[in-house]
Amino acid sequence: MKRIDCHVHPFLSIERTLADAAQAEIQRQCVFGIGYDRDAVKPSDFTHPKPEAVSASNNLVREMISAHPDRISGLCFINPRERSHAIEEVTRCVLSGPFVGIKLWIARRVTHPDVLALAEFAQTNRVPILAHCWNKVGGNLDGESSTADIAELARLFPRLTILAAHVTGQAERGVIEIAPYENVVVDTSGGDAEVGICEFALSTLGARRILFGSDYPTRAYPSSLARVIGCTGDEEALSCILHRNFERLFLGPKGVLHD
Amino acid sequence: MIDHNALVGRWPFRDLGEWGTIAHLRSVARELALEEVWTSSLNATFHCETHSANHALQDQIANDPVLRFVPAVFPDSPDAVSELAGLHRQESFRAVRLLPPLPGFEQHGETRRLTLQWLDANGCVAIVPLRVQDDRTRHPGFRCPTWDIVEVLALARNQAKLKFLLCGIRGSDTADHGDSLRALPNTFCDNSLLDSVPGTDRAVECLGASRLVCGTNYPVFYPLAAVLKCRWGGLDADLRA
Repeated sequence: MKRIDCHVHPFLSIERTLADAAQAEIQRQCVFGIGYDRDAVKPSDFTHPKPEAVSASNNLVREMISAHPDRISGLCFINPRERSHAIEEVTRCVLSGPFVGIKLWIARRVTHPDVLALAEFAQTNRVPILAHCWNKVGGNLDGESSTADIAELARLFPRLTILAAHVTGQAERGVIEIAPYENVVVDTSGGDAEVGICEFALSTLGARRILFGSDYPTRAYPSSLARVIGCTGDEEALSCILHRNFERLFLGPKGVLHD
Repeated sequence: MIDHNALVGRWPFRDLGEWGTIAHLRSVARELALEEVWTSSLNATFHCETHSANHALQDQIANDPVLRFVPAVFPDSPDAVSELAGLHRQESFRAVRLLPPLPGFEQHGETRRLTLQWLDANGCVAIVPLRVQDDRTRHPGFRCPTWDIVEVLALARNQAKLKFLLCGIRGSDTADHGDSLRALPNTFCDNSLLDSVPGTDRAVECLGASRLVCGTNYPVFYPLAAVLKCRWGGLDADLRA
């Protein structure tokens, strides 16, 4: 069965990234940076990188797409604190192509006015957003969104497709919080490969709202794939999770949640 | 391939359905072509009194072609050695799962030393769980007790002839404790939580492939994960010898 990974970072060399995907029989990887992608040490401003670092991230992904358009897709990483630069980057990378969506990390929670302005722009232009999202028992970082934040964003922008990344870091509570909002989907990355969370997401959200995501190379492919293959034996559900949902949401007409 | 780290019994923090039953573990072992599965009792893990849980599991999987009984004991318990001796008389085993001291219970250094001596004398591997679940999404009240790696490394230093299998090591541990792990050839690690690519690379560099073994942490983690890590990474050391 075809496999598309919707959540990959360009932290390792393109050769290693592609080789590991090939070993896991993954045909396409959706890659996005976070502002310090190949640096060994986090810069002090790593949560909200400067515009030049953001553009450098996107340029790195653009190079990967250009070299391997048949295997790499990309999301445009932005720092919403820099509102005008964020809009410029989305225009440069997504509206002008070839990127297929926006990546938000931990510069701002998604309920912050800076993000709401961007969400308005994304909804108008039918650009899907992948937003980092965790529910940590020790407390999230300052700008780190929880599923409650995602639910609020989804309520405010019902025509915006939101991919709440890291369902296995959101756990059952997170699934319950985002379940009422049909414009929210999740990816399978996040925590350790614990049995039960993906099963709960599948039974609560349905297969059309779950995408296979690894968070490679922070998570290697064995545990990332095991949680998907292990959570259901239903071929129809697996094909939705492993490739069809990504194709529908990111490779089809922009931001179409319901086909 | 051998799974050196599996548990059966009820996982109390999430309804896992048939996962955790002996029948399900057998079917998983068959599906993944596991030659042996070293199996301990989750019920023993969550109770102060391990005796009945160990005996029940030993009886249930006696003469099983794949599941190998691994008793779980508190090494500080004054009953540990007699319990192990009794179980060993019934059917020998190759490993013992050491349960971490429970909060509020007094620790007995001398009793612990005698327990470890018994393991050494009977050729058993000491299995020590460092992590069993994802701590970041679990309330502290819903966690399985585990060992601190510093304490385990100190035990391994004092019992140089005894093999210690550290279960649930992360790549960051091999960065933080790399020198100690390198200096202790009697320490081995399972791959149940070696999940990041850089972390796994670092662990292989630190320990060498001969000291990294397959450990699934069934039923808490999907066993396919550890098996794929071995198949794809060539990590399949065997602690039977």
